[in-house]
This record gives sequence, structure tokens and C-alpha cells, in this order.
Amino acid sequence: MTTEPNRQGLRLDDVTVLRDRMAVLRGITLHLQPGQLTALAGPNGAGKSSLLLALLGRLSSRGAISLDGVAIASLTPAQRARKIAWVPQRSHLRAPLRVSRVVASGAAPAGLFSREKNIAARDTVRQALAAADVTHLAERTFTALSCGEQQRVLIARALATGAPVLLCDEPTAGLDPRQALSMLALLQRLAGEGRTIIAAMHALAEVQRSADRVIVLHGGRVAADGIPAAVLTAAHLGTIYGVEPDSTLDFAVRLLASKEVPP
Amino acid sequence: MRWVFAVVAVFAVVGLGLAALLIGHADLADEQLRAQILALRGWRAAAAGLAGAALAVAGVLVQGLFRNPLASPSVLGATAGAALGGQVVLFAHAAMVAALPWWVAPEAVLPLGCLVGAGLTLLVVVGIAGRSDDPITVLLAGVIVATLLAGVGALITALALDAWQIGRALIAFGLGGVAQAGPAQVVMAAPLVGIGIVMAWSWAHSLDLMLSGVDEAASLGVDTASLTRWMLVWTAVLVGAAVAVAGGVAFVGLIVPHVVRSVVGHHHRLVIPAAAVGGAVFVIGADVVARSVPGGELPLGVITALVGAPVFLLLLARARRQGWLA
Repeated sequence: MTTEPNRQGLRLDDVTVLRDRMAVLRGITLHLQPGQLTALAGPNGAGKSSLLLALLGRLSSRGAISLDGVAIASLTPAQRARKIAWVPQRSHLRAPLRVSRVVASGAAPAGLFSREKNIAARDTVRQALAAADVTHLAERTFTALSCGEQQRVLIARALATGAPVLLCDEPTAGLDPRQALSMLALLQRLAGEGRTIIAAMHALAEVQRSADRVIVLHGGRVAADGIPAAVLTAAHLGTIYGVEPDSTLDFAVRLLASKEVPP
Repeated sequence: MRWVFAVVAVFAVVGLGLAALLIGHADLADEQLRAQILALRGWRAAAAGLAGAALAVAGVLVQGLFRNPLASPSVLGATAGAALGGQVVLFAHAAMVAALPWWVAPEAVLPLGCLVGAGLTLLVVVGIAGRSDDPITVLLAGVIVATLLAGVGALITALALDAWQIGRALIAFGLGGVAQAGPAQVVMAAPLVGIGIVMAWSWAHSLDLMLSGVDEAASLGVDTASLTRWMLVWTAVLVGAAVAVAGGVAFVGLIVPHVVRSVVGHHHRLVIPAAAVGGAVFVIGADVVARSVPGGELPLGVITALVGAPVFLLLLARARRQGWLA
């Protein structure tokens, strides 16, 4: 589960993302640095999930996407999985698997006849469970967990891949405020350990309080990019979300962002 | 739980093997006939075991590929496609028999026709269902295609009735069953079933990851396009071989994987071999019952359907409860 050196980060150069042969994102040029939690914000349909799916190779794209100088299109699916991990909003897993099995599916397949590989896989799972604070859930059934617990287990699975980049789709959706703040603290910690974390997020107060950088997508393009304090202003939000610029919106964002993380 | 399954499987295989040889209407006391009867029953049991193993593993593959607990080779139309492929080949063989070399026997070309029929049908069903994530879409596509293929099969049989021998062969094949199975059928089908199961097993880890859906599996390193392609190929091989040796035996591919999963869990490294054993045991057992009932032999498919249909309804109710289906 060790994080590889990832000093160059993820680069997108004039990327166009296609969905059903239609361009949903155009001219995306970004450099996403390691050690940062980057929030992707924007109205519904702005292309946040499309950008994440393109980085995963699930949507076709034109332009150059590279990680540490290596074009991700040149990687096999297995190689890519060790570079870029995904934490979906909800898992489609319906089979009643144990949490440790779910996390193990992120690790390299255990060797059928190799004792070393089996031990290595078990160590990876143990470390990933600990890193996502879900060691106590290891023997529980995944499908019987709450949304917040499932979300943490999916993060553990992503960590088990050892990928230096984590893509999270709405990591706090459906979580109560306490779980959401705790999830954000976890993502901040993982970014602090040198990972590149990119999270599509709707709740601007959460972006404000947790993200190192926010990229706002609007109409298939990057509409704003910078530190949250500079981007999430009432004037900016009014233009992008189509609501009246209102100092109360600005006030609400700052008020919610000032909440402390519960212990 | 796994060792329980292993012990039960060993006893079931040994017990059924003996039952398949010893139970039946014919009298084994006649020393002159005994060897012949035992050989006939042995080949018959081998054919039933191969068909059961192949259909059960094919069921595991399509349920894993489509992430759909109600998918099976027959629901997806693959069995009907294989049957039609077999009928076409038998029809063509009979029509051209004078021009063919002597060694091109119907038993030799039948598996090929079944395999191609199953493969083409799966391609059509996948094409119709497209990239839909709705579990019902692929099932409906399969049911519609299967109905169409059964109609075409009936048409071919009707056209062939003028030539009495061809018509009779087609009807016998359409009814299925292992009553006519002998060394030729078993020797043709065994390598296909063996290769199909071993190759399916080699994809076990990817099938495990597919339990979380295509996008998650892809993010975990599964080459989903390649997995889809090969699962369709090995399903076609297994269904083709099974139909060639025993016709369409209903419900094996649907219920055996579920029963096996409830015992050994969801790890495909275990599910695939366990389904092979479970499928073989189920069909050999059904065949013993089919030919031991008083008053003459029943078609094999009747027994599997009588057991399978109620189990299918139970599975449907459970799938709804667990949220697999809306």
C-alpha cells in the first residue's frame, strides 16, 4: 500500500471528454499536484463525473492526460489501477461479502500457491483498513453497513491498490454532517500523506473548509480555479450557479465552513 | 462450510455414480446382458454429468458477466441458439450426406453447430441489450431471441418432416435427453467441457471484481472488454457442448450456481469448480429419476424443470428482497 513517489502529479493538456460521441468537456488544461485535496465543483451536468470517468478511462477523451510524465492511455487496465484509484459515490456490490474481502479486491490478487503473495496481500488489506479507520469493520458484511461506513470501506479498497491518485465521486453525498466532516478530515489526511486527491463535491461549505484547491466546471469548461477563498465568492457563484449575487450566500458558505470536525 | 460441501460432493458423486449404474428397469441378474447394460448406463451418466457441469458453469459465467442473478444460458437464449445450430447442422448433414466423406459423422459436426449457434445468439442478445445496466433488459432480449429461435427450429423441423429420417432425427434432438448418448457423444463433448471450465476458472479473479459492477471492476484493473469477449466465448463453448450431448436441459444453469454460492460463498475460484460438480450431480440424479419412474422413461428436461421452476420463483423473490431487482 506504499504510495509511490508522485512528484510530477497529474497533467491534463487540452483534454476533450466525449460521452456518446458528444463533447461534454472541452479545452481542459490542468496540473493536479500531489499532496493536495482538489475539489471539483459546478452545477449538475457541468461535467464533474465525466472528468473523473475520463481520468479512469471509462469515457473516451482527446488530448493528453499523463501521470508522472507517463501517458495514462498507454497503460493497461491493471497498470492504470495501480496509478489511479476510484471511490464511487455508492458501490454496485450487492453480494454479501465481508469488508476484508471487499478491501482485498483492491490489492493485487493473492497468489494461489504463493505464501509470500498471500501474506503481502493480507498486510496490504490490514494497512488499508487502518488508514481508512475501518479495522473494526473488517469482519462485518459490506452490504449491511451504513452509507458512511461503506464509503470509508471503498476508500480503504482504493488505498489497497497503492495508487497515488484517488478520484472520489461525491464522497460526502448522503452522509450526515458528522460523518461528512469526518470523511473530509480523512481525505485531508490522505492528501497530507502525499496523495493526489480529486473529489467531485456539491456542498460548497465542505469545499470551503476542506479543499486546498477548487476547480469549478461550468458549461463543459473550467470556469474558475484556485484556492477556495478566492473562487467561492458570492459574485463567482452567482455567475456560475445562476443565482443572484447575494452576500447571504457568501455568509452561509463561510459560516458552515467554520464548523469544527467532531472528535 | 466449505469442507461440508466437499464431503457432501464426494458422497454425492460416489453415491450417484453407483445409483446411475445400478438403478433402472433392466435386470442386472442376467449375466449376458449385465456388461452391456452397465456400459450403456455408464455412457449415459457421463453424458449427463458433462452436460450438467457445462450448463452450471455457463450459468456462473453469465450471472457474473451480466451481474444478474436471474441470468442463465437458457434465459439468455444461448441454449435455444445452440439447439437451432444443432438442428441446422443435422439438417444440412442429412441433405448433403452423399457428398460428404464417410468420417464426417453427425456426432462430429453437431457440437460445432451448437457452439456456433450459442455464440451467435449471445452476440445478438448482447447487441440488443447494449450497454444497459438494467438487469431486465438483457433478460427480455434473451427471452425474445430464444422464442424467435425456437420458432425457426420448429420451422426447420416442419420442413424436414417430408424426409422421414431427417425429421425423426431433428425431433429426437429437439427433445433432448441423454438416452441416445454413447461414446461418440461423450468423447466429442468432454474436451470442450474440460477446456471451457478450465478457461472460465482462469478468469475467476476478474469475475470476483465484476460483482461490484463494470465501472468499479475497470477501476480495479479488470480489462472489461476482454472479459466480456472471453466469457461469451467460453459460455458458447460450454453451452454448445452441453446441448450437443444432452439437448437443452432446463434450469441447471440458473439454480445450481445459486445453490453452490449459498454454500461456498462468492469466490469464483471455488464457485466454478463447485458448480461443475453440483451441475453434474444434479443432472445425473435427474436422469436416474427420469429413467427409473414406473411406467416408462420421462424426458430429462421434465425432471429438471419440475425441480427448477419452483426454485427459480424462490430466487426471484429473494433477488427482489436483496435489491438486485427493482
